[in-house]
Amino acid sequence: MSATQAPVHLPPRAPAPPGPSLTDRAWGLIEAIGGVVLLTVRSLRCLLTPPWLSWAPEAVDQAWILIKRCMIPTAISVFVFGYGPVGVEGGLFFKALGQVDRLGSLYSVGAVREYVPWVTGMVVAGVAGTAITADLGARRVREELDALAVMGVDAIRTLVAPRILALMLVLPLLNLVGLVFASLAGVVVELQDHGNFAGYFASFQSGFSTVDMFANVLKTAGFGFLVAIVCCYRGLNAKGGSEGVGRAVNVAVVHSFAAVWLFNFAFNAVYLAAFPGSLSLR
Amino acid sequence: MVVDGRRVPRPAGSGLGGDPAPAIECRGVHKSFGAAPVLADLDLAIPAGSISVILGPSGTGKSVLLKHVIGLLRPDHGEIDVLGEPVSRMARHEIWDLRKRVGILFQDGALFGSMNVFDNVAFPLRQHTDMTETEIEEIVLRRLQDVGLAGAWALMPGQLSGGMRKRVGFARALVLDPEIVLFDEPDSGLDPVRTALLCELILETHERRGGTYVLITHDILSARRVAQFIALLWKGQIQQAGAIEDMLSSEDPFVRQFLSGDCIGPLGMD
Amino acid sequence: MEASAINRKPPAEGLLTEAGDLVGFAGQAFYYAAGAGRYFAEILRQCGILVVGTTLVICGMVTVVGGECGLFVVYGLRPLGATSFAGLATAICGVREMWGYMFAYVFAAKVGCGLVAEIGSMRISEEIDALESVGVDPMRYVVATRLLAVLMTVPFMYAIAMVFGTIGSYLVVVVELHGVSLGQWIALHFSSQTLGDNLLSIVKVTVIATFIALVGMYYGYRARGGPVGVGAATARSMIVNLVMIHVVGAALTTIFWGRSQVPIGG
Repeated sequence: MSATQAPVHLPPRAPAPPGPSLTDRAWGLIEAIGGVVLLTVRSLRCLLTPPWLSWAPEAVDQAWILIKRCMIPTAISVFVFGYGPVGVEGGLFFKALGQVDRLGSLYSVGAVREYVPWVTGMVVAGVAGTAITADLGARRVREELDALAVMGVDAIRTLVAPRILALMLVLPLLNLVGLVFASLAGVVVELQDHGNFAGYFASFQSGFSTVDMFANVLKTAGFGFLVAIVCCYRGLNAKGGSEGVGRAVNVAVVHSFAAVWLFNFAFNAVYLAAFPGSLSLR
Repeated sequence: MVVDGRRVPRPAGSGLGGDPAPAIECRGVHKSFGAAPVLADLDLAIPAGSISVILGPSGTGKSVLLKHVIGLLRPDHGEIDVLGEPVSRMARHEIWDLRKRVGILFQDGALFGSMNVFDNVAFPLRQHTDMTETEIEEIVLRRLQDVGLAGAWALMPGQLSGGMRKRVGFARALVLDPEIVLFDEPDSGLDPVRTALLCELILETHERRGGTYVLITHDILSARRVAQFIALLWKGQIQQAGAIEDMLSSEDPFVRQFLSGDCIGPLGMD
Repeated sequence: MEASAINRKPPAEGLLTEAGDLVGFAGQAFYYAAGAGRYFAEILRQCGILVVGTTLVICGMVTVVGGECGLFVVYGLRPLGATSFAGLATAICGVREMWGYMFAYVFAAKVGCGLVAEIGSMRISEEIDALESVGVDPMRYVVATRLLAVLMTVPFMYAIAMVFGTIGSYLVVVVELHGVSLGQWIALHFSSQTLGDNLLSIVKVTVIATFIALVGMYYGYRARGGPVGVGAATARSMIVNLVMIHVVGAALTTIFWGRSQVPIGG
């Protein structure tokens, strides 16, 4: 086959176009932040201008779907986290100090302040964030959003604003449910370490404070807002078929996780600086 | 074809001119997904050495049939023989060897997105033969020249147009010199001119290399251009099959309607 | 192409079927991993992608969680007058728990979702069918290679992340909040970490990362239905991953450290 013909060589490769430079990436990040801010402003305008409450039915629908989807994963995750890391590690400390009966205060302080909003935020960002991005992304890629625009329907008013509201409402609610499960986990740990109910509940109550609860609700509402806005932005700007949707979901999840963590850190730092006594275990 | 890691010329009698044993034979094939049967008691015999076209309205299970031939799906009942081997009853590891003798062009080319065009076409050679890189380079380049894409060897699939992707897929399907080549809707997403060019390419390649080509399409124009044998697939069965001259002069109302693209006849919107 | 079958099984049965399918897939992936050595080039390529794409984000976020640990520890110990133990607390909090969870969250978001997206779109564009038709087993070439890449790179990535977690704790405890002097924090932080603890931590993270990768690849491999299908698969995989991170993490914590002692008072 090859003996009778001259050897063939590959033609020269065309120079590859340069990839995105650092400045391109930085500019891309600034654009993304700008886009998110713009989306926020537009959503607020939809929420605060007539027709009033046009977003309400969709928001209720979305809230219900969110609760259905996230309730069980959140409950399981919070309970298990409360039993494992908090229960085992915190329990170790308390056993070493001979203070097993006061485990309750660890739960009321640690749970309310820290880990329940944290875990709830993670689970909702993962579960609801991917769902929202996938939904909006698929609509964008199928040109459904374009079709809506042609029919004179504002996608932000009908799709984005309700989802933001739904998440801001549902996250604190899920958080409260999570608190119940966290306390349950604490009860299980307490019983396992041969403590007693009375001590647990007494120290739980003394560690509890209303200011903490308000801060908690505020923090989780903030989480909800951040997750919704990041995921809606990524979904609305998906492009490129199923691969594009997958990529958009991936980026959305990473960014919403990062946003939640950074917000968590900043909020905690500010709150603890303002109320330094709130973390002491009474 | 590939034997023991080396390419050897195909033995006489499997090239052009027809051969008594059909290349692909389906007997009583039945397949359903859920409640609806997609293929129902299907009988088909594809003659060896010629270009066959399986025509049918959209969504009638043509692609499903193709996947059965190559062993990606198994029928619920019935048998499928490819080149004399009982594909429907072979174990998974036995089918690997058979796949080296069958090339398939998927609908959008199905190129491997992480490699460039050259590596895509070279992939089967690197996996299944012991050839040196120089030999591989030669063969791949010749395949790419055949489909007119030698200059694009360094591009990634994402940088190619739909038509280019199909041509690269064609080159890859041919690279092991298979005895059967299957085409899954090769004209989908192409404009009429490019469709015509692709048909020309298929005809030229078949003339030069022989083998059995099977095209799945619902475009009658392409079918008329390339087919030597036509089978009509409708309601999960082969309604009619035969040489193209016989089909074109058939009196059957269904055949006449479909081959002329007419509104009047037994076929409706559903 | 295929007629889509609407699944009308009761939810519980559907869930069990899916769980069984997932376990079967995972078993297959490990079985085929034995023969994936011939694709070593592909394994290395996957390692490279993992390392380049994920390490920076992970290190950044583990720094943040290290800082979070430090915050909690200082404010918790200050009223007890026990801030001198800050080093001990950040070590236990970080090594055993928080760095691992943060790594797992980032891994699930970046790699887990990424795998579903990548393999899902390979499935949709028939690339996986194309591999089979060319005579290459996609379970080996696509799934097993990525599994091996994860097993090879995660221990090292986590080891690097641990450094950053320490830096994060240091920045918050010593620099920002002046809870404790540098010397005291370093002394306790490092003396309270045993080699065993650190190794167990790496094992825990590797186990969780393997789960995440397998779940992601499972949902990608079984994706169907275009963009909507890929999106739905990604959402579902995140649910499974997030619950599983917590369950497996808690289980491993209990197994590894449920009976251990806190090194206070000798």
